[in-house]
Amino acid sequence: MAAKVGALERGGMDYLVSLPRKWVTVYLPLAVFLFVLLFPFYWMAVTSFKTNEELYDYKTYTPFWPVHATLANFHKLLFETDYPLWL
Amino acid sequence: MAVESRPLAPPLPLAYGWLERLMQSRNLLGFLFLLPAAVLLLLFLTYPLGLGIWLGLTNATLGESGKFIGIGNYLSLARDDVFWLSVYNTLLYTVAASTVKFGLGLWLALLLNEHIPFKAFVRAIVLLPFIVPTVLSAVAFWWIYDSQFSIISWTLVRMGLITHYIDFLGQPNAARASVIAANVWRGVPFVAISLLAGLQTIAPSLYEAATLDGATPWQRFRYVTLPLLTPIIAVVMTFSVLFTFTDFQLIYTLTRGGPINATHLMATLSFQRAITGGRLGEGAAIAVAMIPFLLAAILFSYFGLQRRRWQHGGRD
Repeated sequence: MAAKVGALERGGMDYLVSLPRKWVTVYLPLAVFLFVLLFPFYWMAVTSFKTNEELYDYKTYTPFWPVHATLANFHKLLFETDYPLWL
Repeated sequence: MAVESRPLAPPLPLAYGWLERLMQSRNLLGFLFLLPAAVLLLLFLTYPLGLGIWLGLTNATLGESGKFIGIGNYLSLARDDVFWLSVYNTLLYTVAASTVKFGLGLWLALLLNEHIPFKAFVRAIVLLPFIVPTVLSAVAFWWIYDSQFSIISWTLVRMGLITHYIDFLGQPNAARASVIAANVWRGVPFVAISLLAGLQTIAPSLYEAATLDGATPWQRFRYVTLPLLTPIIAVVMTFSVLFTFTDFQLIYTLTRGGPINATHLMATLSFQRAITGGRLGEGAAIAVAMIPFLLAAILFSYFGLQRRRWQHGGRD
């Protein structure tokens, strides 16, 4: 009932749609969209914090987040290459 | 022109010098004001295009200006299997990617048009794939599509759905599907946000009236949303088709046209022949061969999709 009052306050025809129905028709597909659209960015970010051993060994370490997070990749990029010059 | 027949100022008496009379002429002033824009257009638009068309008619190579050989380049391209493969690839890529982009983009736009928490924030981050440089997202997809360390293959194997890792970029058809998927990923936000802008111009009262008349959600979409959205769809899909047809960065970063030319588009083939291979004339000819397709797409959009009668659901 509270949800219905909230929907009425927002105006429009939202009050005609029940909350469980909205979960299936709106929030679930939207969550899938967001996951697919944002996953490559997460993957890129996570990859940049991994050590080389971790990157090439999915059996010992889970690939979904860095186990031994490291800044070595950034250190190498910023201090051992010409990258700052290109910036 | 109407301007000539209706001069603003009466002709000056002969007592004035020729310079003053000249400066009073509307035609001359109009010409002077037009000059900067015309020069810019000629310099930066017509000249490269004209040079490209000219190069396509010569046998120029890198470092040599070459001689005029007429349509020799086109005749040799007509017998070139790789060229026809690239035409097929380009058409497949454009049709498949644009269709999927339109479907998913329209769905995402409808979802974003609902009342959802953090609406502005969600709309902003949905645009992220579109605003990052293509090369950056292509590198991310390269790692995702890697034949040994692909996260997709790994997950599917762990779930027991497949037994062997998918060779995403190694097999011709898998590579085609992979680059199309990457292009769709990049293009969906653009389509969705543009269509969302169109959706917001539709008055809510139309939906209320339709609901009172007993319209189902599908009927509300089919007979209210779709007809009012058609003009925006026509514009957005024209842009989407043009961008997809001329796509270069994504393909070149992901596959360089491989495996065995399976993902070569006309743009990448043109670059490969002209710059990497050094045969400027032939590359230019391939690029010029794209123009008829692009013109056809634009004409179809202007004379077909943007017709009022079609947009209002009627026939000719």
